[in-house]
Amino acid sequence: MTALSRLLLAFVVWWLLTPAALSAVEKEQPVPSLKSRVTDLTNTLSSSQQAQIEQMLQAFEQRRGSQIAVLLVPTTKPETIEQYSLRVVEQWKLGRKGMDDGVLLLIAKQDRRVRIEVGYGLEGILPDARAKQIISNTLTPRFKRGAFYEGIQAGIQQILEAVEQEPTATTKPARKDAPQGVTDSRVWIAPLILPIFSILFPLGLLLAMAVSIWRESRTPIRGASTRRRSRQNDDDDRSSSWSSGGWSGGGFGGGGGGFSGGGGSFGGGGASGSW
Amino acid sequence: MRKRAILLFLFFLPAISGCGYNTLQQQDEQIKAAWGEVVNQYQRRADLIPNLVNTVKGYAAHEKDVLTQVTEARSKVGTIQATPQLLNDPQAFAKFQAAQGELSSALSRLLVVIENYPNLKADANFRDLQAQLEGTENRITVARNRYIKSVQDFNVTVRSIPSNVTAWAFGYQVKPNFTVENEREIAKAPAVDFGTPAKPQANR
Repeated sequence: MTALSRLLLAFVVWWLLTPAALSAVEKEQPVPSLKSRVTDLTNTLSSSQQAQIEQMLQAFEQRRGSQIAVLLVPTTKPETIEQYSLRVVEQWKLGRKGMDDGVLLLIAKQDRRVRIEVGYGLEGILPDARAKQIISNTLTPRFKRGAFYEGIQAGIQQILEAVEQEPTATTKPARKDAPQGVTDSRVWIAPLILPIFSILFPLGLLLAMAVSIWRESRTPIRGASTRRRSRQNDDDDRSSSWSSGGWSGGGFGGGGGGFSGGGGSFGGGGASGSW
Repeated sequence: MRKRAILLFLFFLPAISGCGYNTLQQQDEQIKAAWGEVVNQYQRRADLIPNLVNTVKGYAAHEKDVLTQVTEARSKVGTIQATPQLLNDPQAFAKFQAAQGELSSALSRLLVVIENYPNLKADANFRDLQAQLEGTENRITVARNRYIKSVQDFNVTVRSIPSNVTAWAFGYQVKPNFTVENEREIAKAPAVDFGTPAKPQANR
């Protein structure tokens, strides 16, 4: 192995390892992958209860297009519920792209905190005051009694009623049939794109140039054109195999589950409460 | 040999100059958009204040000091024009941040005082306002974090090789970023009070 290719290999290995090393130091709660509209990590709801809420939300999405999800976690520490909630919706991307009509109902059971996170597009119809009212009047009293399923159902009902009034909501579906569930793998892939295109490609080209010039200088000029063309092909194969090696690693982990975010964005609107 | 040298040089050119200038442009625009959002949310908070002051006056009229502080802080914030030019002037930026910080402190003092007025706290209008205020504070935090991130990306590009050459050639400098205000106050341990529910964050 030449010194240059060893250096390149070391660079690629280092780049792949760095995110892994960094994430081992953080102790934040992980964002669960989005597989269904109701995600319960606390085993509070029975599967039939989950299915019922899931059905309610799915019917609403089919009718109105907005994506509403429920997430129950044990705790959000060391973050506040607002910080964790934002990370979740930034990864899940609930709501349609451009319309940003997603809502997340997040319950941190051990912390006794609840939050309704509202997407940009619904901030007019479900303002902070209304979200707070839903929390104070509907969710908190029921959660205090331990009636979680009842509370979630009643709260979702009110959220749906509010979103129903949004005049611009249409029945455009949030996602086409093509598997868009590549949210997880895309997050993994993103740090690789920049080094691949900005460093590996030019370096690969440089390498090919250097090699071809060096070999040219040792052989007669005649007949060099055919050799150069074949060497260009080698270089293309090499750089494309590097890049395809990077891409094929990210193709899995998406298409499973029947629910994925539509690309909506959030700005931190909504309300939180405790019980 | 010369033809090949020229070809080589042309091959190099896009690889080097491409990955400097365009990135700077894109990141600069991203900063402006993120900054616009920050200003937007700060403005939203300022707009809530007159209503808040009036509602509080209805129940706690003799808390003149705190109410005056909030009103004055708000008008001070209103005098600072938050234009994109602010991003190129670190002193003006620091002044802007200081003014907003004063308003945050005045607001948190007001909210502490209000704890003594249960009738006010039960007032439906006040509860709506409080929800809006908390929501706006959260939005401010989110907008600031996104701005901080976009400035970080830009500053890294301006300072890295080879784009620092491009940055220097076109006059791009590192942009100012939000600093942690009231470091001493944050260093103070928060008072733990088991009687009342969690208060909104006050160090901004």
